[in-house]
Amino acid sequence: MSQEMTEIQISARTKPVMANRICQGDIFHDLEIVENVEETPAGARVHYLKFPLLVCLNQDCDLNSDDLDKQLGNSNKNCRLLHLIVAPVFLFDSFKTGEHWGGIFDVGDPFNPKKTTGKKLMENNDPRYHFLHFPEEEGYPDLVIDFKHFFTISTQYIYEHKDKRLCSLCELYREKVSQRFANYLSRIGLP
Amino acid sequence: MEEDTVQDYFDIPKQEENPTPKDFVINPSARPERRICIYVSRDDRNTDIGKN
Repeated sequence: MSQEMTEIQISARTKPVMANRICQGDIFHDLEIVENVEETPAGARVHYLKFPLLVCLNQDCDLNSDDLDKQLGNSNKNCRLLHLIVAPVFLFDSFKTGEHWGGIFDVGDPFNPKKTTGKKLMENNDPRYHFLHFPEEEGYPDLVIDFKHFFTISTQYIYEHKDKRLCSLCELYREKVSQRFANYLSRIGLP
Repeated sequence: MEEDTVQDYFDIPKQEENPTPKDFVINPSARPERRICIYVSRDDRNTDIGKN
């Protein structure tokens, strides 16, 4: 590992085992989101977005309540969640090139981790992004969550694809993600 | 309206646990993709199949 890498603070740790239910901070691979549905003379045209990586951002107590109620066979309380909030997660290496969105958006400006803006992001001081740097022994690459783009996904769908869960962030680290996401959504831009 | 109590939150039945998979390799060249599917309904698309 280079000296530069050793100076980066650990900002993510994963659980060695994952709960049976979906938790806040669960990272999934290769899930699809319905972007849009339009009716045409030929039929219903459904636009899908497939993301290599997504992270679940719902509060964990809400996810727990949803799961508990489902375990009661004769209950259908409004604590159930019809959709879950997910945000895209990008490999930091592709994020640095500006090409991380593929053909969905134009290529962005390259990102230089050595510049002030780059260090700000990697220290999680850029409100829009959350940088995940894992311990080397966990074997995950550096990742970046983009809070500007978040989606909802059917809870049923994501449970049907639970086998695509890559890992679960540990409590403090996932709560940091959640707090920063909420801060980003509620930011105020003064003139 | 019945609301969750603190006990509801902490009274968590033992969860079955799943080992974190170690065999999945993230494709470094994978990017978000868009795809479009057209579904043709055999039925009259104006049919109301119900509110639930």
